[in-house]
Amino acid sequence: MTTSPEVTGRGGSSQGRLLPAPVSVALGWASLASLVLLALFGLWGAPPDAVQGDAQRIMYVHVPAAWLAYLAFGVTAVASILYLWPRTRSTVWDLIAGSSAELGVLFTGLTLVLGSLWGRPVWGVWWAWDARLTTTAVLFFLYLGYLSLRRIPASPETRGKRCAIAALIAFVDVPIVHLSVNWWRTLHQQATVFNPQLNPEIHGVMAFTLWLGVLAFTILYVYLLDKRYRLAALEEGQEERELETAIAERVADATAPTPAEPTVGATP
Amino acid sequence: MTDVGYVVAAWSITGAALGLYALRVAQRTRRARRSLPSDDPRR
Repeated sequence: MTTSPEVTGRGGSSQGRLLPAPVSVALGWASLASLVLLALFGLWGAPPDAVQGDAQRIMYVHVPAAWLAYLAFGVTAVASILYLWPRTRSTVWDLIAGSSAELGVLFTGLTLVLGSLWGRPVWGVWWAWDARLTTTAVLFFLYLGYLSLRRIPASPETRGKRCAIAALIAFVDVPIVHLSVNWWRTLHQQATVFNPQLNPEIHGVMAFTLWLGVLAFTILYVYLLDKRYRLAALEEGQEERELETAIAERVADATAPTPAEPTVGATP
Repeated sequence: MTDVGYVVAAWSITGAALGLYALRVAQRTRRARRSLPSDDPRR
């Protein structure tokens, strides 16, 4: 990971990028190309499912979105630990955590909407209070709360610490979401790839398309994380400048000579 | 709605959500860069 032009630790400010500009551009094009390829395979190349027919094609975006939500919240959790650890504390980790959480919320929201669109033709309902669906909705709202917490005005250090703790608490729900289909009887099917037997139940072109989806979404995630981090760093610099200006104005007001007030009851 | 309708809706929503998010981040980044002083190296 490179940051430019500078990265400062311990409550300092971070400016710049996660990735060098040419790498970011390359990732953008790779992401676009892999998503086009995914659409070709997901909508035409892969055969329809023997039971679900064409409705199963939603899987090629639903499952990668869910996995990327896990990854994004995992990155948020790791960055939060690194922020809380005094030896590695840097605003960089706080900004990475916030940026990745926002992407995680985006992917979780997509997972819920896509799951609903898949559930309607297959289960006959848009929504069920099933363990997997409910814990995923809880995950969505937990990280929505985390993003709200980040917007509460505070010094960067106070915000960083409380958000890092909140992110770690929220992350507890991620393994619960993943294992919910094993722990409870659910309408949602059990894991197809990472099942308890570690024996994937998907093969051939379908498996290839699913992995292509995971790859395409992962490249997109890295690209968007870099872009979102850059925005967060710029906005933080802006807040610091505004604070410095406000302090300078207050200091100037305090040190400026006050006009003499007329003395009450003074005789000429 | 047919199965194909659900599939088209799902893929369209995915493309729209990810595309609009990327555009929104790019737009906010441009605005934040414009607010930087002209001599700032991050511009």
